Amino acid sequence: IVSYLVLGNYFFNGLNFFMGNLIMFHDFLLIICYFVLFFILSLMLSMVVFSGSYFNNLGNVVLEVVWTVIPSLILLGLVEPSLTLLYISEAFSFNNGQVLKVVGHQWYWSYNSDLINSVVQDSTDYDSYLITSDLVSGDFRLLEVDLPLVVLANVPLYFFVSSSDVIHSFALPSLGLKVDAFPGRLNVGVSGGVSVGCYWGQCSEICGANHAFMPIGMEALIYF
Amino acid sequence: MPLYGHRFFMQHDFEAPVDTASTKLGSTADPITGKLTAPPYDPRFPNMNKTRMCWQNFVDYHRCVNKFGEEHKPCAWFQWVYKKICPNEWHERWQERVDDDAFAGRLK
Repeated sequence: IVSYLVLGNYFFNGLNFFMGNLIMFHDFLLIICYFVLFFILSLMLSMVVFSGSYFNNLGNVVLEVVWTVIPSLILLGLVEPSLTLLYISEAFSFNNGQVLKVVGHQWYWSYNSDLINSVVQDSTDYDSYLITSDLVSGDFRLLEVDLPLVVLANVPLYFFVSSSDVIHSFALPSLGLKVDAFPGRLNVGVSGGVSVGCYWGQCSEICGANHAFMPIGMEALIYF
Repeated sequence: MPLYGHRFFMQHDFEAPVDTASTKLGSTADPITGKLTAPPYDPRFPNMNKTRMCWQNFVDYHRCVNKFGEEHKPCAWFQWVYKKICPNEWHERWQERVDDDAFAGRLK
């Protein structure tokens, strides 16, 4: 699954490598679910539609062995992509990459990016609010923010997420990332890297009146 | 002093770049300075909750400074780590308390 994705380049909407693999696994799993569902439904339908007695054969050892072995083979087939994804998600364990501090407030996010710090020469937090008025044609209505989180592309990202008041959740679905923000707790979420572009997310834990109006905007740039 | 503190500044001198031009996956160095950009994996804090890692590095920095003086360079490793990962509100608030002798941690 990993190599297939690299060769086929099935990335829609600028997805992450990790999220792309998650989507592939999900599609694969769903096909299996459809097959099982179709098979069971057809059996049930045949019992309803066709007349006949179904109580002749009340014990069949061979049948029981078969319907134990075949599902276990299906599950064995699911082991490989599942474990691969599990280990990929732990692939980046610090050392080099970009450290981003995210603090959730009611009802905005504040970021501290070392990319900005290296330019400004001081550790500055900046707040990111939803833009409600003066939207240009082509902007996204509830996603545009005034100061997005600026990030380096093609570099591992480490999001250290906390909150200053209530529980929020920092979600970037394109990266397959959702990190809860608790007051008094520092959670870390790791992403393997993104390509250049804009990524959006929304607060994913109910946090009051404007919970739906505190989006996350992330811009990935390269340094040249 | 922490038990494992010496291992960090023996392996990763925060002044020197670790992997400037490495092509290994996940080890791209900071293109601006070419130095170590993220704190290395600390096995004392393996899980997702890094609250204690932030607190421990802050405390270790002050213990190091109290024991060896502010000019002792390895102490700056702990400061680098806590400034990297701690939210500013936290370490600024703790620093105020340290300055007022009101910090709830053993710094001597």
